Amino acid sequence: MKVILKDIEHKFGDNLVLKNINLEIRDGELYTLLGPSGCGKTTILKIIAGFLKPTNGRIFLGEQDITDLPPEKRNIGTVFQNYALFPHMSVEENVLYGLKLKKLSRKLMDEKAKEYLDLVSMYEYRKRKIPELSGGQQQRVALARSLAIEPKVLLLDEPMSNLDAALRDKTREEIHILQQKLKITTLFITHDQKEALSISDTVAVLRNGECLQIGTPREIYMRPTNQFLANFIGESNVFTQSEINTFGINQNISGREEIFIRPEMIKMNVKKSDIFSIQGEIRNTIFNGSTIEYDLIVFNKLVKVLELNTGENLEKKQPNCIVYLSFPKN
Amino acid sequence: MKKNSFSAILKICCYFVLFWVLIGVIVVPMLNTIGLSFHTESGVDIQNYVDYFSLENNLNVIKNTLFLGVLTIILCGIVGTTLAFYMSFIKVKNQKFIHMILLSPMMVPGVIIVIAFIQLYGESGLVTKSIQLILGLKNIPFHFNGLGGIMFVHTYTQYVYFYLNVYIALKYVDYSTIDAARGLGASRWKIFTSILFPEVLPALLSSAIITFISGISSFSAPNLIGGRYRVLSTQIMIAKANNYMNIASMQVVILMIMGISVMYLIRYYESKCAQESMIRVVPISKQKIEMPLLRWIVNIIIGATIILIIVPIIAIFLLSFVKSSSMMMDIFPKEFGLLNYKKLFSKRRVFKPFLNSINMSIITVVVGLCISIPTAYLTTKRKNKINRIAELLIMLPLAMPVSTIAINLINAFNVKNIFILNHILIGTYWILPIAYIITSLPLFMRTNIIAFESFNTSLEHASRSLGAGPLYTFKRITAPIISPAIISGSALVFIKTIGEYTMSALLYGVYNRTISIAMVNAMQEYDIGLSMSYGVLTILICFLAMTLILKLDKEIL
Repeated sequence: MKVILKDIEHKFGDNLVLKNINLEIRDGELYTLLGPSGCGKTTILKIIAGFLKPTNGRIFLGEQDITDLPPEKRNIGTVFQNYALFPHMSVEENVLYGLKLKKLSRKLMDEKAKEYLDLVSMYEYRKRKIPELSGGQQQRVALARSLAIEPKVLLLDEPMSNLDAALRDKTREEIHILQQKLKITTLFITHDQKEALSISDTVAVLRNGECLQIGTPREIYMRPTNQFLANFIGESNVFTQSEINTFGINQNISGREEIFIRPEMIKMNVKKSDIFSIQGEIRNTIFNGSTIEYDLIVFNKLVKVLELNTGENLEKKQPNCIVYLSFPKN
Repeated sequence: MKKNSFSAILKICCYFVLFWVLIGVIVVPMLNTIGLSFHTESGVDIQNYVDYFSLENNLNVIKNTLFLGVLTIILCGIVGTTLAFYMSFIKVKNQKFIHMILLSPMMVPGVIIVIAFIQLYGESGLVTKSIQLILGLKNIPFHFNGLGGIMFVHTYTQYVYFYLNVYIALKYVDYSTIDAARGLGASRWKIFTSILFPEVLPALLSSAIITFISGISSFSAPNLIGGRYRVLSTQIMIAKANNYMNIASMQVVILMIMGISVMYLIRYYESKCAQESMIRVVPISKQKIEMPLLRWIVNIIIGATIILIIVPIIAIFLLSFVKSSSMMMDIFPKEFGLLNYKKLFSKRRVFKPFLNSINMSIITVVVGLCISIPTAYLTTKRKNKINRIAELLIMLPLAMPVSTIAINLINAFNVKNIFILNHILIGTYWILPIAYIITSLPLFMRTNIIAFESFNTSLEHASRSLGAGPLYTFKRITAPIISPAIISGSALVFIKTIGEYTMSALLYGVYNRTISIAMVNAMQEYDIGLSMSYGVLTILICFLAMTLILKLDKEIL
């Protein structure tokens, strides 16, 4: 089921926290709201779920205007950042909670509970109390609880933020696979650009209550529309047109003042050649294991370059070395 | 839209009832008393105050009262805090059992303790006489009255506030900060002053407010064993008994000013030292006392404290089986039996006070919850002006000594009063429950606010998004999660109400004689056995309530 947010505005008191938000989440896609904390992404989630009523604007679920519907009438599942599992109920009771409200037969309820607990491989823990579960397990139960009511849309509010790094990667993949399997329209909220880029169909980047750019992960990364975007999602070197000219590259990108070039797009060689024509000096290196970051000075400007660790460059490209750069053509 | 206007009307009605009640029983009676204190034979002026302050005796009464309040804070603070530190830092055998004993004065109403103390340490008390016999003295070894006696009672009944609050505060001390300080080279004293003391200070201050207010308003101890040590609360009673209501009102105003000013003074310091609570805490690791001599000394002190605490309770149980006439003849009672209990349960007139107290305590809890739950819910949800005023009004009785509340009610309700639809309340059954409700509101309000604040609202959101309506959500999610805290708060109010003496003495009538009044009357008629069997019943009921609290409130243990 598709979701449309039309001209959404929201105020807390006099404070305008959402400005003119227009989103269209297509049926079955994984749509990500990406932004730093305080950018209004959770407010949008609350508005879609029905916990907040927007000051202005309408929300549509499919063809239906749901702006005035209370949350319980919307059939939208939510996985909360802190999971919000009911602490006085067992795992199974948590999952059955929503099913009971659907007034299904006892047999059907049990079947569904089993189906969704199996889906997140938590069925064997069904009798456990919530405080006895680890963070990752709680997260799975929360997911099963939301999915069991077979919602038209699933909202995920930073579901991985309370997990450790290793578990986070694993869970992210699991959620991605699950989403593709169930083909459920999903809105995913995160401040982690890696998370956003790796699993989304569409990403919307927010800042200060405004939507800055909407596109596929590829578009967002390769064609950022301003400096904030260029640096919020990955790192970028920002060049003005005149700087590009002094480097001796004849490039004219029409209508753009600034040009963003990703550090990994710049190639670097110790010997000068036709391709590697721009001279720079290494100031500093940061060793990351699989990659190496270099800070270079090129015509008095700091330029960041990223290379894969080949072993060879680790030895040859040390601080104070002179290197030659090649910039991408477009 | 229809639904919205309905809930708006409901909201207005709620606020109307709430403020009607709060203004009617708290604010107006208070203003009324203040007004009355300026009434003299020649009209309205400050002559009452001028006359009062010109007498040295009266100034002494004020000094005594203040001194009593401050001394109560100091003694209770020392005893309670020391015990809390001991129980938190030192490895103790039977830790849980000792903790329970240290908490037990909570479930014994003050008036029972006073009577028990008189039986033990009074002029012809069991302990007094025993010591006299053993040592072969001509005169009794000590006089259990005056300031010393009062302080003994106050310390016994009120150190628990300090003990419990500091004990809970110490639970939230992050032990790793102590280790860190040690690693940085801090001495024990430095650790205490720079880490532990700031952590327990809020607990000390809030306990100080409670003990000061109850210290200056204490009535049973000064009345029964105070002797020539006169304080405001006893003077108020005398003025009221002689029907000098303007004099009583003036004394009430003085007492109220003391209470309110000290509370706000302490609150001011409290706000300056407010701290963020930490989420993850490494618990304190308990240690053994290594030096044998010190260990012995500490063990003896703690042992003596425990004996001092349980002896009165044992005495109450023992004396309840004693035939009262045998008490009169011998120092050490010889005849035991169920006589007193038979009397209590067979004679309706004798049993009635017990029923009265239970009924009125239940009414207090039910009405108190009805007022405080919606208000607490609203004030935690929305911090607007109306809600703040409601909270302030509900918390006001905290600063008002109980005798002032009673006098306020007498002044307001001994004439036809508009707030209760032109009825007279004094002399009726309802005046006491109303007084109990007023005094219990702050306690209700505080426990409820804590319960609502610690409730995670995303649980409500989760329930709603799973398809539950607001009512179903409240029934299945909100209520079950917050109810333990609210029930344990209610049980505490119940304990405090059932044995209440001060307001009862000022307000009771033929229809609502309470168990505390009956107890004191029985003692004054030398029917010690009956008096103590009332005490045993009350303690048993309070014990049940206490068990409930301990079961529901994990923090206390």
